[in-house]
Amino acid sequence: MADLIRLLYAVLLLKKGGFFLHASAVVHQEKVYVFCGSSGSGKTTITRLAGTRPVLTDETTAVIKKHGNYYGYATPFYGDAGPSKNNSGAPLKTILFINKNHRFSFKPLKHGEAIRHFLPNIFMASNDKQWIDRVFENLLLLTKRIQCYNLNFRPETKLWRYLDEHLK
Amino acid sequence: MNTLNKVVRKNESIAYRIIEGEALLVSPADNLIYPLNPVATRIWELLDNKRETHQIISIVSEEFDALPATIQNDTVSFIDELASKGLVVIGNE
Repeated sequence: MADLIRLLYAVLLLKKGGFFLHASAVVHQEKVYVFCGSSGSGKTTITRLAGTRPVLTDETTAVIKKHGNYYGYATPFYGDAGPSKNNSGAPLKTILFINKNHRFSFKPLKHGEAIRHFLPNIFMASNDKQWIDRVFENLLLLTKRIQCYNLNFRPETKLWRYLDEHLK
Repeated sequence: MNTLNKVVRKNESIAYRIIEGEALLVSPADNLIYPLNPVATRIWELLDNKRETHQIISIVSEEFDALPATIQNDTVSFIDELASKGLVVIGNE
């Protein structure tokens, strides 16, 4: 049933310029920070470092386009942290492709680099070429509006200060 | 297979975009992503089912600074690799 719901929502999202992303999401200073990566990259770890910041999801983020602006939303699809207590969304600040590391570092991604990082992490409801073409179009538009980054991080609460200092 | 004298066409089911001079190919069969460097992207653009491979090699040789023999070997290897992954079709296959 969950797979069917995810499929239906994925189709709707795609038609409206968005998609489901394999990512955790945290609201920080009223903006959504999305942390995207494969299993073991640190998505759930970051939600545990969130402190009092609302955690939208530790597993699947809905990226939604409304009136030309992008938002990050909670979804009913969760990982180790369990269901979200914050069934809401907020304007998207950035999307970070994460890796745990022994030190902090980050790098802004060009459009092509970002899209290359996105593709394996988007919920593909179909292998049809038209579907993938639509995903490409949505990503091209999103990466023109939202700056994406690679982020290596140490699992410490200092993360938020680091992001504040580097993502102004 | 003598790829040099064959025309090559892109598999029509492949989704791709050329972004900042580099192509990203997605194969719907397995959802694998193939990022191409600028030279490979130029060859990909030229695979139009009209030009034979040796004509593509001539164009690439004029546009990129490398030994002709190197360009020929690399182009043929690249096209054969694309064909082995089902991303292009060589000749009238």
